[in-house]
Amino acid sequence: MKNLKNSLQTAIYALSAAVVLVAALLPVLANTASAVAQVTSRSITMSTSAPSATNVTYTTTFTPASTTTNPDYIVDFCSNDPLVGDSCTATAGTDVPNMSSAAVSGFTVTTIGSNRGIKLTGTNTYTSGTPKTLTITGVTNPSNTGTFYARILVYANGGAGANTSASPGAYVDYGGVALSTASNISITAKVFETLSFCVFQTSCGTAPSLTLGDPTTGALSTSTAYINSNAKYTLATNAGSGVTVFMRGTTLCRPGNAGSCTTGTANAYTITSQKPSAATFSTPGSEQFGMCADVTGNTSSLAATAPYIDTANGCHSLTTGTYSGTSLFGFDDDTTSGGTNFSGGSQVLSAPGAVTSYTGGFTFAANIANTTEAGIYQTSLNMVATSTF
Amino acid sequence: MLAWKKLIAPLIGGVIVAAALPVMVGATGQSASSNYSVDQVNFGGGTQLHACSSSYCSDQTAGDLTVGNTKSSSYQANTGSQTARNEYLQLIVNATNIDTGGLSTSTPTTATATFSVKSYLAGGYVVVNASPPPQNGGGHTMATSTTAVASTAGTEQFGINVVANTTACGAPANYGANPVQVPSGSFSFGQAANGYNTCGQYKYAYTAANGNIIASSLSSSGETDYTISYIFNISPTTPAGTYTMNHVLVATSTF
Repeated sequence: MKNLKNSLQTAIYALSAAVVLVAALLPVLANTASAVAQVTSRSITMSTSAPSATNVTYTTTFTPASTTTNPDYIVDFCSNDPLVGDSCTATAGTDVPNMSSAAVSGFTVTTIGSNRGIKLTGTNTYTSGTPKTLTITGVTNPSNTGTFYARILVYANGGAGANTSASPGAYVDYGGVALSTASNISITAKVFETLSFCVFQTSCGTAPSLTLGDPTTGALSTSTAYINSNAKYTLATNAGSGVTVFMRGTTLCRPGNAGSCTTGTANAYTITSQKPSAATFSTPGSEQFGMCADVTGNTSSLAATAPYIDTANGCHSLTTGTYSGTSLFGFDDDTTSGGTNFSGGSQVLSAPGAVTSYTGGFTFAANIANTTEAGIYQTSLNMVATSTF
Repeated sequence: MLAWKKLIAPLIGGVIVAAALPVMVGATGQSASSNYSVDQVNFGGGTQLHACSSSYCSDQTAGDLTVGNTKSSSYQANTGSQTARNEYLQLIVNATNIDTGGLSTSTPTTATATFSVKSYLAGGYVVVNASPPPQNGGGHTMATSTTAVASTAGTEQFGINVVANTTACGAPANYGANPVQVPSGSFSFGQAANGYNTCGQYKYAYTAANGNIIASSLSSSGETDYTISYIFNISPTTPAGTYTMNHVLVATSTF
């Protein structure tokens, strides 16, 4: 009887030990049986974090824990936490994205949870240890600023069904990701329109006063050409559509003139302007008044306009005094469009865009003929620069 | 009767131990999901998670022995009062409207804006520029440098950095600030990225397909407060207009 009792007691002790052992191992056994694992290196990069931004791309990347043939995916967004199986608090477009227009190349996309998430089905590779990227386009960011979460679930092919992250069913891989929308930094900076144009003799502010002729007598000659290169200009503008410089005035003209100071008009005592379409050589003995513009070295496509283009020397490095060189000069004093006596003036310089500050020069040339009337010939020329912004 | 007590007692004891075992193994651990995980374990100290009355809940702590983050190349652990198992990322850009007024060819214009980042249970985070530089109504975009360069008055330039700038290092003014770790460098690890981390040197890189990293942390990090220092310079040929930019920052953590 005593032996029977001891045996029974031993059996009960053994049974108790077994209960304890099974209880301790039960969670481990249960976990092993399910083979569910968390994807690693998981992230979602938004193309913009601006609240309410539309057509945002969510680049979703993670490293699978399993290998699955053509798996289904659920990417479910929740505002409360990233934990699969927890309830999901979400209002699409407010505290989580609105996925109603979401698309992923190569997948059939179905929205879940009133547009808070998507289910993806399609043929695709999913290999353990090989990073997987799902580029989700067409997302509308939540209007709230702050943190929200994505729950990524991977199912066997056809396994996603009507599951959500809150009622996930049987999945193979999973993972949570946190994201954040944030305010923008609004920046405004102003650049004012600028135009700086100055015609001067020594420095800006000193109006050029030029003499063409013998340094002693101031008289022109039928045998020697005279030039004066003392007129300078500085031009700068940030006008994106360019700048033009027009000149208004007359050719050299004698005071007391009974007619106008336009070349060729009756009773006009003028030094005939060189107004062919192209500049011409200086020819002593022929009545001539002309000008050329120097744009040498400018870096802004600033160019002289015909007939003020000296194709021989670029109107560059010309001196003041007698002249026997090959530079070309012109002066269009027509009263019609393009002439200095026209209301709009004669175009001298132009640039198609902005001009970095540049200093160039204007050189004037004069010759007289044997028949040129005696007298003091003068002109006042006015340059106008106009920018188009 | 005594014999039955001797027989039943061990059985009852075994059941009690079995029932209590999970609690003993992972006291106050937030084991969850249908397949179990233990993300948070409390050793001693005074931490109590989710102490709740009928109306309120609180997480409590007292006398924690160690706090902070420790990691190897493959794993990391966070110790401290409250180490929740939720992945977390927070980017706060303090809403700022910067209006520089008219820019000058002779004097650089400066401005600042601030943002903060914290990330938890992550392998770090990056913050990138996600917007193009200032542009005027005519479609002209201010010039930028994709390498860090000094401010040059009279040369068109838009750039940023994320550090303190001083005239001593060649900056046009004393402005900006170095990243501030909150509450300290023991908890927070965010840093300005290369190219944006040198006093008096500015860059701005951005492509629509790939923003440019301006700040980052290599591990989970408490709050880091950043100050963006902006520089604006124009040339005499910088097209006129009102230049605008919505500077968008995007933070991404890898968990």
